[in-house]
Amino acid sequence: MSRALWCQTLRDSLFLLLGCCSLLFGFIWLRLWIVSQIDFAEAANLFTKMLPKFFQRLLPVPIDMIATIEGRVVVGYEELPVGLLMALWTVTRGTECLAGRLGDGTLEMMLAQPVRRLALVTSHSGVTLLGVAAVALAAWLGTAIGIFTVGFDEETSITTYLPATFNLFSVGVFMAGSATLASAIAPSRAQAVAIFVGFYVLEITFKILGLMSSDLAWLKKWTFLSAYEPTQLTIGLKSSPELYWPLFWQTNGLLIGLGLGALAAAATIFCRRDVPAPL
Amino acid sequence: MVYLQASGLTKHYGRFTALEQCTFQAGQGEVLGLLGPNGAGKTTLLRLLLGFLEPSAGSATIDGFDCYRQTIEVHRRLSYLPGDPRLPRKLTGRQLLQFFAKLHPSSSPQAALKMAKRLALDISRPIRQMSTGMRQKLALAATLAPDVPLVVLDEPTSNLDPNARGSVLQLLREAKAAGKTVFFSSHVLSEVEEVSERVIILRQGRLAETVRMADVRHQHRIRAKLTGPFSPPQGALAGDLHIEHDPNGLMTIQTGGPLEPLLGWLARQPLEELRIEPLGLKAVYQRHHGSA
Repeated sequence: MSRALWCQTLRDSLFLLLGCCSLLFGFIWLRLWIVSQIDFAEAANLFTKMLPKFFQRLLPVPIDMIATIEGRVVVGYEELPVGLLMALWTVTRGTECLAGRLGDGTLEMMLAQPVRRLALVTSHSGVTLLGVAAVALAAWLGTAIGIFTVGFDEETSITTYLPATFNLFSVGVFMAGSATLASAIAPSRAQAVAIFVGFYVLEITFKILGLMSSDLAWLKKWTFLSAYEPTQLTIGLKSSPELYWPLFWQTNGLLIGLGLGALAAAATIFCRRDVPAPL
Repeated sequence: MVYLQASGLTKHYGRFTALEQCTFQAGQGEVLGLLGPNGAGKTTLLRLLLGFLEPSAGSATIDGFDCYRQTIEVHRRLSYLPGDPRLPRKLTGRQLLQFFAKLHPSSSPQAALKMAKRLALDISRPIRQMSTGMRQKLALAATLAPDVPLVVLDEPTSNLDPNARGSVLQLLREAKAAGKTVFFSSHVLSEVEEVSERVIILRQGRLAETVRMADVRHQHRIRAKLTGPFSPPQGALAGDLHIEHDPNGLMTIQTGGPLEPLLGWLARQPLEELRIEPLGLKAVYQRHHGSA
């Protein structure tokens, strides 16, 4: 019975998952090729001179570190398409889980089967988390294939980028959990998306303000984006592992813990709430 | 034996009362109809029985299991067709039937496919290419396939053509013959009249009346024109009749009893243009909801 639920859920989401994975894989690979064409030592000097100081504060690590081979490769994890594709997968799936399926009425006949509501949430969320892992893995595969095929002037190991990949997975778990929680609270999918987007904009504002002004640095503690630092973790783990491994476990543990907590809260709300007739 | 029991079932949404103090029961193998205009509380009542909503007061049981607290046990014993079944549009009809057959322990893909065949349904088509009526038939096939003791249907014949309606009513009769309890809502009085043994009528969230169809079938209305003075009925017959007549000599008689003694009395009256018609569920419904 639950196998049927899992298989059906997986089948429903396969197209979106394959789309997100292949786009991410292609983007990372293409980006590495572009990066391999640029002389970064020269570019770094140029950036240091030209970029205003306040803007440089927004960079995850100092410019000279981005200019290293590891920096050049891993900073791709902080590019907009990576975040967007992970958000596309997690927000689409998370908001569909409850508000989406209740709103479009497709959960109605399933709820009348002898299946626990918890099973309906776990099968959907389980597939979402598997997808998060697949999207993160696609990013790492893009990096690995890119490194092998592009041919950088310096040697770099593909395992160096596993911590960044795990960090991407962790932030995906957090986003999936918070989107599912929004879908358990909101009466419609549109409202669930609005809640999530509002939350995301607030969090990104906190991070930007926290980075730009030392007076507002405390805001960084109130945004989950402070726990997504793939560049800092990759470079830090290579240079000072004894300093950065605790940070690695702390940030990822926080993201995964909050994400799973949000999923548990969403499941609890759904198991107890009234299910109104679809509009 | 009572299979479905609702006791003081009440549902409030804030200050709005969708259902209030609804008490009724359905026996094993009984077909129970549910009538009421839009907003009377029919769907709320069905959703409370399915455990989709938490009752504000009262309770309901199916086969002794609490509908809200023991939903798995309850859902093992029933199958349900929503009023507006919306199905995953990516699947084909066959995939949908197979999926639901896997979810219900009392169903099987073979039973679901057989049901689809009876409803003359093309299950090879993707659901997104099906008409509203075809989707309704598909949902019906998925609902009627499990071999369960209780079938709950919310307006099962809406969107269906006359032939399909006939098939559905026949399937309900077969379910009853197989000893299943059927509880269904409809706006089509003739359908409810045709298959139900009892009917409950809701009005503004309250149970207005429970009607035994056997009683309704005995009720007749006689209309005639008096051509002279009539002699009032005597004895037991007098108590059984409700007679009205106007100054123009038009007489209307309502009876809930057997027709034979009434016919004898009528034969002795100075009447012309006599018309005898069964009262039917429509008249009962009209008592609560005006013209139907």
